[in-house]
Amino acid sequence: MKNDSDSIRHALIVGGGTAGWLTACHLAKTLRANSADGIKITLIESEDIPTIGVGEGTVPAIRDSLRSLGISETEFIRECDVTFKQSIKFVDWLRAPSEKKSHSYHHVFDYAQRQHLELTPYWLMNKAQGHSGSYVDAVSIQGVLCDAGLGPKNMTHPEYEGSASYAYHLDAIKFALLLARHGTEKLGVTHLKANVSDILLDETGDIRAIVSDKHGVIEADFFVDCSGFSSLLLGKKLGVEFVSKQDVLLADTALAMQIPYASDSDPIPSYTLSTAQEAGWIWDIGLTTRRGTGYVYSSKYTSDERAETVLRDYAARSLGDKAGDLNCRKIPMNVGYREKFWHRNCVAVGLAQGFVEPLEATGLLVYDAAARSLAAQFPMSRGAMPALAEQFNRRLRSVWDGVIDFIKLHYYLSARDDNEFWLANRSLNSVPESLLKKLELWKHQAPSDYDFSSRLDIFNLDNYLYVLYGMDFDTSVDNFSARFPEREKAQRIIQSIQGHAQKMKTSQLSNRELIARIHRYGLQNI
Amino acid sequence: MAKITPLNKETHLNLTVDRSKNYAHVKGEHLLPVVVHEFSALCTEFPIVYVKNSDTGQFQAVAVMGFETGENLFCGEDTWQASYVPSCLHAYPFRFVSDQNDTKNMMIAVDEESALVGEGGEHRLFDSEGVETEYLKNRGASMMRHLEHSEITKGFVNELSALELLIQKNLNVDINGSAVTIGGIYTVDEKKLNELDTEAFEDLRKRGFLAAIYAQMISINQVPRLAKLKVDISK
Repeated sequence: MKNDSDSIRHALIVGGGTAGWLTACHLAKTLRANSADGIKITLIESEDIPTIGVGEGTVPAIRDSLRSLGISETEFIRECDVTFKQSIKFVDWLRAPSEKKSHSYHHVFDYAQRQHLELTPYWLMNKAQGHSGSYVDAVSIQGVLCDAGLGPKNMTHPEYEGSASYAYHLDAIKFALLLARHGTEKLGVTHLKANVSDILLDETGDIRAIVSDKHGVIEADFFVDCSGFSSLLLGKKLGVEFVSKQDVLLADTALAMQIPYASDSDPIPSYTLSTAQEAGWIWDIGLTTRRGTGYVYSSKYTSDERAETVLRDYAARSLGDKAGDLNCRKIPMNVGYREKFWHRNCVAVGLAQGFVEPLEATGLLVYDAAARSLAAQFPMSRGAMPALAEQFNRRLRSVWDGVIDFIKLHYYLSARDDNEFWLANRSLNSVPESLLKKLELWKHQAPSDYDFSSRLDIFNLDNYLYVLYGMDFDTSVDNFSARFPEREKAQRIIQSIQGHAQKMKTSQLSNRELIARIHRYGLQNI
Repeated sequence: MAKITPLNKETHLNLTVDRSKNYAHVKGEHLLPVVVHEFSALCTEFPIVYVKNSDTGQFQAVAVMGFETGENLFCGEDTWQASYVPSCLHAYPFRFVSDQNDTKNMMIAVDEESALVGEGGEHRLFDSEGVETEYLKNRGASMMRHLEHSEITKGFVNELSALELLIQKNLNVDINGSAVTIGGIYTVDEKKLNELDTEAFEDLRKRGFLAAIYAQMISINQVPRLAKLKVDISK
């Protein structure tokens, strides 16, 4: 028998940043909020609390989300100051720069094609024999596209498709506004503007309602906490502890600064630039109207004043004296995640759930993955909740741990010794066991798909390959030649990829020109 | 080489233009832009398809003249191998160019290097007083009509796209025993057209678009004929 009091008819989302609106849109779409028999979705946001709105990088999974929500790529690009992103270029991560030399590599989005041959062992053997070509250029065209300043698609590609895989750089505040409009106008989300003054529990300890200053008591069956670092529902009210990961990821502060382009015709890189510094790294993201930069650092190994000098020096490289006048904003970072993400009838998404430094643009990515999986596994009734919560917690915890391992990898592989920060990052007690185990194996053989068992993990074989071999990780090729005899074939494939890349250089538009044309003409949906 | 110069009664006072069936200037064009007003005439001889403009991504209607870039199977040395001549060819050796001083203002220009252009030929453009001749006026009016038709066609194609009636289609043909596939081509999907709601369909009817839609769909059947033409020419 169906018990009506057990069914979930109304979900309330608290908080209206990108996490809140992404969750609202995914839930409303999947649970058919705009039909009479769908689940009611309400989002309440404060007009007084500003969103953090720094996260401006995404990964290709965002394309699937936008498309499945029914958002037009043209509209998204026009409204959110969007530019294309094909890679993260890591500069000076391996070694501190010297007068003459600066090391860099691309972590591109295109996954290698393996149906003909896995090229990695052959590239490793070539390298052992002294060949100097980079890993990314052996297996993908995308590093070449990035360095040539080119976009990932041309005007004849339909929305969300390209010559190479891609994601976006975007203005997070404008993105939240677009999602809010789409959610309310197209997907049936109810939008309330009010401050939350109290949270009420029922006799079992589940959340029953929230109390707001403008709309009084709002009851719901299910609650999503998107209230940011303050985690009003899951953290403050339900008392779920925060698990700090500061011992693994040492950076604890970000200093953000928006900087103008020197001229309207400045090239817009189609990659995020991440340049390692003495006590952290600087992100540099080109939007259509400005660049967003910021220094992520550890306050233990540098001072705020010194950090500001480092960031201004960086800006001065392209802006000269004007860099001295720009405003910067300090953002303390709480690195880690909640012990549980789903407790009773409440799920946290966004900063309320957890946070790691934005080195691999995992902010929006994890929110989006969490929101999608919540929508797909949304409980039909209270009875389903304990089992779903357990799955959700296990899955998300594995996602977060995977993200943390992957970010730590960048630090651990560095040979920098110009500051205590880099040495501390390599001290073994700061490195997760799971990462050390993988690296031990990969000293003897190249990573394989079988090393990545979970389909839902965010960083997989290709991501590790680009970073490992971009950072000169040493895999012994001692017994390779007998196992991998197709060297000529491998050489042919590598040459054809490189030939293709050179050909693409003559046919693709620059990132800036591509975006200008999309603003002018729009993209077709077929 | 073409040398396109805006018409000017001083420099072009004695210029004359011949009528001819020489369309050598499109010998290398395998796709010709067409207007919706001529779809029914075109469809009995040429495949009409929609393609994306590579610079803008916008759909445009074209008649297919050949299977690869540079191939126009209808354009012989001195002949046009079809009874209908697409309207975009009528204007030659004239064309509109925009005034450099006022880009909204269109001016008629002439290809001075064209074999049709000279002095002492069939039609003068200006009389001895420097006044435009009836001939030039007629040519200008016909070009203006074509420009209007092009604008209407743009609206028509945008409407097909907005109604999501277009689908991508590969044209597979057999040429001398080898299979050739032409990609990047779009056509109206009969199924989607039939599924259109009554109101939207009625709107297409009222705007006079239906005949053109069907003419284009039917014209796809000219593809095998085009393949045969290619085989015949190569013999």
